[in-house]
Formats: sequence, C-alpha cells, structure tokens
Amino acid sequence: MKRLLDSEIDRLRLLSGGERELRFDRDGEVLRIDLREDYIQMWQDEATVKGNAANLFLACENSGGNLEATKLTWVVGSAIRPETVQTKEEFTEILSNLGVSRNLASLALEHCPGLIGTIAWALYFERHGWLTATPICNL
Amino acid sequence: MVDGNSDLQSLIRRAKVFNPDLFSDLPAELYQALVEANLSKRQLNDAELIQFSVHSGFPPEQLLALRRLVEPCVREARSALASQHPELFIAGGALASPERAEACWRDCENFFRVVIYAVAAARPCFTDQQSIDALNELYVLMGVPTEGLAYALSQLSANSRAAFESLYDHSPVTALLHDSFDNLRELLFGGSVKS
Repeated sequence: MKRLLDSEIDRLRLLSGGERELRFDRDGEVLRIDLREDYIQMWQDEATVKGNAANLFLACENSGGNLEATKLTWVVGSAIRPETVQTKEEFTEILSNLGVSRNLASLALEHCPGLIGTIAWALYFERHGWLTATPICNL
Repeated sequence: MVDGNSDLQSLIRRAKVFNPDLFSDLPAELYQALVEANLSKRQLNDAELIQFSVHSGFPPEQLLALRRLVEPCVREARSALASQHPELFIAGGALASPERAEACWRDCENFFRVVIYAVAAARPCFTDQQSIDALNELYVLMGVPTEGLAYALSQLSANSRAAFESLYDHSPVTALLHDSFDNLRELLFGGSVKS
C-alpha cells in the first residue's frame, strides 16, 4: 500500500489549517479526519508492524475470530486489525458489520481520498460516537 | 510518539485501568466473572455481585446499592464541575465541546465500573503503575483532555463516598470505595488533582 504523501492528503492538510483536523457531518453523524503529524506517524508505525498489504486498519473490540463478530471501537482497549478491501460495496458491508452506519461509511468514501484505492486509512470510533479516520502516508 | 520498542498495539495491550492479573488468585468463578465483565466493559450483574458478597463478607445489598450510584454520581459530578470550574466548559477549556465532555463522562462511568469490581473483590489496588503509565501515554497520543478527567474523577470519588455514607454510614464498603478511587487518582494523576 502506498505510503508516500498523496497530493490529495496534502490538500486536506492545507484545508485543515492549524488544527490538523476536518469534520464532516450528515444526519447527526460525524466523520472526523485526524491529520496530526504525530498521529499519522503513530499509525504508520503500526502499519509497518502489522503488514503493508492492508488498506484498512480498524480498531476492533476483539483480536480473534471473524471480523463480522466484532465491532469498531475506541483505540484504548482495542485490537488493531489490518484488512484489505477491494470495492466500495465491500467497504460499506465490512463497516456495517462492525457497527458503523452506512451513512458514516458513505461519508468516509466521499471525504477520505484514496480510500480502498491508493492510500491505507486507519479507522476507529471516538468514545462519543464519531468515526475517526487517519491516512497512513509518509510525511 | 510511540517509541521504537512500543508499537501502538503493544501500548494498547499494556494500557489498562483494570488489571485482571491482580485478581487471578480469587476463586475461579469470581476471577472469570471479572475477566468477562471487564472484556465486555459491563457492570457485574446481580448474581455476580451476590457471589462476590459471599466471598468478601459484605452485605449483598450494599454492593447492589453501589452499582445504582453510578448514574446519579456521574450526573452530580457533571453539575459540580460546571459550577465549580466553569472555565473548563468555555472556549479553550478541556471540556468546551459537548463531545469532549460526553467522552469524559463515559470515562467516569468506566472508572466507576472498575472501582466496583475492586470493592466487590475487596481489593482496592486494581491496577499498577506500568498499566497506568501506558494508559497515560495512550491518552496523550489520542488527545484526551486529562485535566477535565482529573477533576471529574475527583468529584466522582467525593460524590460516591458521600452518597454511600448517607445510605450505610461508615461500612467497610465505604472505606474500600474511598481507597479504590484514591488509588486510581494517585496512579493516573499523581497528587496534583484539585477537587
């Protein structure tokens, strides 16, 4: 999976300003894109440990068993599971099984450039229910 | 930043507010109940609390009453914080955004949950400094506003003790409740917490 800084990610970082964070909301649900350098580096280190082939890194409640049997959760206490998805439909289905609404999955597909395609993304739930996404790319 | 010896998953694994290993010498069914409840992030149920009361020698109604204090005590901590430390809730404050405040209250509920495990088992030391250091490192990485959390935990400790004492005066459970919250506060935030 590509780890170079993508021009689309560069654009997001410019848009995010000093906060290094973007929020998109729809129907009361929020997608947060976290672009803090420390944070991207943290996920990048984790991706290196877990394997470069995956294009999703998901903070799940359980480390073992089928992915459908667990839920997406907050990072603290989670098991980080690498996954590879090929299509938008597969992405939406996997996230839906993990307890993420189709609305939030759709927001992620709209606003996370390279998702499924050229850039790996880390996804987790904030404790208050926001879906948070961080691109895994070199800075 | 995660150092070279501690990748994120390793840090997550070490970061524990409740360490079941410290309870592994309990009777097997009690230990298993704690492990399962903690994995599911749930409170001990009635039957489990009654089992613990038999083991610890506490009146079962006191353990059951403790669990009922969670919701009102967290609510009280919220209003106390709002009145005593309004600066936390205005722009720039640790709990200024509703979602940050919501996350803080969820943390409080979780802290109370593990404190109840500790009281039920009569073991006020339910985690260790290494686990808490990893948790603090993770909190920093995740941008958790620990200033607000420290105040909230302090309030929760005082509120729950007062509420329990109003029901049962100075019982051994009261002392364990006090010690359990104190140990957690000390490990998480050192002696710097103002109430």
